Amino acid sequence: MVRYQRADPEAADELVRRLTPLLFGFLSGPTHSRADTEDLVQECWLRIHKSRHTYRATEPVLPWIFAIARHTGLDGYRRRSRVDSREVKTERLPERTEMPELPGMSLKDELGRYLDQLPESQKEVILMLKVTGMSLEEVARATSSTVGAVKQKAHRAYEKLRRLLGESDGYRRKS
Amino acid sequence: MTSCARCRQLYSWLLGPEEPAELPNGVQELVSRKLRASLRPVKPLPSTGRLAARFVAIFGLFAALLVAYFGPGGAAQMNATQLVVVTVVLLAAAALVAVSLSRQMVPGSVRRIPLSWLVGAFAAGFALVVAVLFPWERLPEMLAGGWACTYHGILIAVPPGAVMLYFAARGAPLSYRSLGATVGAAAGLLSLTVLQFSCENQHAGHLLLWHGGVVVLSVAAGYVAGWAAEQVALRRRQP
Repeated sequence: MVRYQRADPEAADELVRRLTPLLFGFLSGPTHSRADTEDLVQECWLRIHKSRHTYRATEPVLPWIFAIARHTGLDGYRRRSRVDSREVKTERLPERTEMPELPGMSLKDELGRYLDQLPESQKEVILMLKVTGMSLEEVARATSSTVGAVKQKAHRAYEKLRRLLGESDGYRRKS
Repeated sequence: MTSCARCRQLYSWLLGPEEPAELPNGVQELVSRKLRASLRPVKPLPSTGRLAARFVAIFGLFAALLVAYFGPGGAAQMNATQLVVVTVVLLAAAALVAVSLSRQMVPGSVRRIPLSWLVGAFAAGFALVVAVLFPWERLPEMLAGGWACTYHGILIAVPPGAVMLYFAARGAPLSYRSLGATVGAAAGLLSLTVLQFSCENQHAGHLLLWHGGVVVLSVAAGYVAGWAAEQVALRRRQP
């Protein structure tokens, strides 16, 4: 990151190579198409580029990156809501059904579906903690909140996931 | 977890070795090209402490100039205890707002106490100090003539607010609403300080309603301005 601040092109490439998959996973969501997510990732990188002077070598890099990514995602959501509220739908879309169990569904897809059922604030905390491997302190920095608030959100998310998994297991046993 | 095999399987996947994510190669190349095209060396921002000291210096400079301009009539009305306690409370609040502003300039900064708690603690502290240390007037006296203080207070808050916003915008604030409210709080606090040391009406009701009202209005104005800026930015980025 320090080399990137000094305008080393190889450092920039290395950062893009290492962080883009993480950002892609973090910014993708159940209502986004792949193209939407790619647009968000590009926008996020432009913001990171414009803000690179605010990174300090003494601070951890992931909270800095994910704080920017989080706000890019929030702005994307607001923008989509604004467009949706002005668009006239010509077709009626089918309503979302409650988690159908598909045979052969991969574990990763299944977990993704469970995570998509969580409120956005809880989902982002779980993604940062468990998928990206950030510490509680780092997640608190990235979400502009306190460690206590992050712990509480993670606890609520685990409870909801546990309930969803329990329901799914019960359904499997019955069928 | 102990009774559900599926839960254990999912949990172990969650904690297991990271699978290589599906790499969006086209995006990576495009991003790399864009970054390389505008890659220039940048100088990192100074530490939070130095940024906060800069905001406190702006606060102190404006406060000293404005009190000198309007005259220290309010300070002359206060006794030593009132003067010391009020100065300490206002300085502590200015330092907290300065730290909050400098942290908002850097994404991913540590935040041990939520901003809303700090604002609440300051409001409660100031109200308590004023209610206990200053004499209360009757209601008609409290309501009479106070609007002029609030009006002047809002006018006083505008130039330092603009200067602080200029410095804060040198960082990368993520939430315009939060930044607007914090700049509003800093400017309102500065205005409150000037009124406290210049206004000759040092009754508790007047201080709380008409001087304290400046801070409330400044925070609200800053929040609304931040919200408006956010809407403009969203519209610009719309495809």
